[in-house]
Amino acid sequence: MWRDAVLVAGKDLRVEARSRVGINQVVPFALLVLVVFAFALDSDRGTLVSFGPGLFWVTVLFSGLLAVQRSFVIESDDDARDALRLSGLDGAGIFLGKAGAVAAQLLLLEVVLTLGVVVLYGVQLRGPVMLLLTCLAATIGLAAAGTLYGAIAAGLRVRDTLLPLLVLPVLAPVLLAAARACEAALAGAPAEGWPWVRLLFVFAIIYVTFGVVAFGPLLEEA
Amino acid sequence: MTISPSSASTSSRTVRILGWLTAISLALTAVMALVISPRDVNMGDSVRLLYLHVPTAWLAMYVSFGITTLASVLYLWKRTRSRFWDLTAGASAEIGVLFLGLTLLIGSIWGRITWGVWWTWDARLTTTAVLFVLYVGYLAVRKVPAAPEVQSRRAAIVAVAAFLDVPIVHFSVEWWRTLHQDATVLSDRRLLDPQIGGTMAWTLFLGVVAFTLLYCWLMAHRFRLAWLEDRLADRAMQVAIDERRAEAGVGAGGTKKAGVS
Amino acid sequence: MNDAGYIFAGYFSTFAILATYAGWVIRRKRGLSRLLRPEDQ
Repeated sequence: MWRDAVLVAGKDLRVEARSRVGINQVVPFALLVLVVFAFALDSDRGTLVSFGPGLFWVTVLFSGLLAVQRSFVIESDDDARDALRLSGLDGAGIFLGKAGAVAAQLLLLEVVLTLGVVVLYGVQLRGPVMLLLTCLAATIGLAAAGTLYGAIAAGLRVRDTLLPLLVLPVLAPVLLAAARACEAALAGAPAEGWPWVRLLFVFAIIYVTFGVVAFGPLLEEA
Repeated sequence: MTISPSSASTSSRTVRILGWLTAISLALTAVMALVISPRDVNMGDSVRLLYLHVPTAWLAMYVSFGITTLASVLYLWKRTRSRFWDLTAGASAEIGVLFLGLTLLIGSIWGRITWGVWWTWDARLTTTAVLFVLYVGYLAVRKVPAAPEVQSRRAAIVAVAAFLDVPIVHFSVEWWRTLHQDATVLSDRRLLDPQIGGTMAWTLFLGVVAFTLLYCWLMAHRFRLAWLEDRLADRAMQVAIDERRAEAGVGAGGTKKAGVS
Repeated sequence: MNDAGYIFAGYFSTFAILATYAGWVIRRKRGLSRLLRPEDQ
């Protein structure tokens, strides 16, 4: 299973690196969202700083949706999906590989966004350990749930509207917890953040496990 | 009550009696809630809305969605896989979404009376709203066309995935609201938990009974509808297959169906 | 009764919505039942 996962993750990341959609489109999109928020909200330094964590994670969430959709679009080209099924790769491995690739891209994006939030919003970074753990746990959860629901919506004509409808309520707690944890870290009160980080890890474990179990059956066609 | 789908017709006596019981108990509940029961010490007359709000919430969350989840698991498990469970899951979810929508509606009116606003981000309403969208999504997935087994399997997986999220949403929102309540909402905590006793308790109990009966009655009809739709789809597919066989010139060896009657 | 308007609105809309849904289900069910009558339902 792990070997398959690494195989699939490598493939996805290589496709991504070659097409550079991530770099050319998703990252600029994310930065643009940050800027748009600054326009929409009263952008005196106060509000942006206090909303910083929330806005950061909303941006990650939407970019995550893009990354997941992309992850499955590359399969629908040239009937790659059938090839994937027939390749004999373990369903669980495919899931971990795809989710892993999405997670890797999101983590890179988060680095860029952190810079964005520091520079554009004037947020001062504190509590780096908590911030890192939050990002890690939240990203794994996002990638796992996103990939699972991405498979459900993949290949359907209503894909682009169905995926957000399905996945946003599921990810609402992740958004909530990640924003609160980051707030706690930035406010210099990490003690308040730990329950949220725990919740994020619980979410990640649940959805990674469920994805591993359910992905194989999902890929089966009758 | 026979549950065997092929033989049960929902115009059967059992279902009809169930329907009457439902109507009577609902009417009784309304009378008790609106006329006989007293107003609450803290909440005033707005408590009368709770006799609808609480039953719909409980029925939706614990009964409807619980059955949807259970039926989905039973469908996914090879040993118990059957169309019956898939159709049950779908029917129950639809009724659940309906009830939950009503919960939100009545809750919103109650909030308007109590707090002067149509919506507030308190833990209960927020969780309910997320739950609502979760299962609307489930219903949307059910409607996407695909081969029957694929459709059912996909829907069942979504149902289980949604169910996994429910406790997480509940806890996270609870935490969030307990940590961030401002003074007004905290003092309203008293308002949120009325002193239920005597007549009020009986009215609430009656309400729960009435809505449980309503759920059963609606399920009987909705399941039957789902079953018939399934038969129709099967039939349409059979006709299409036969037609294609006929075109190919292969005798299907048996009755040639002239079309849907 | 205070806020009688709101309370009655709540009760009325609840029962109206429920009745509409029940009616819709039953009507469609009867239609399909007639359509599939000769079949083993």
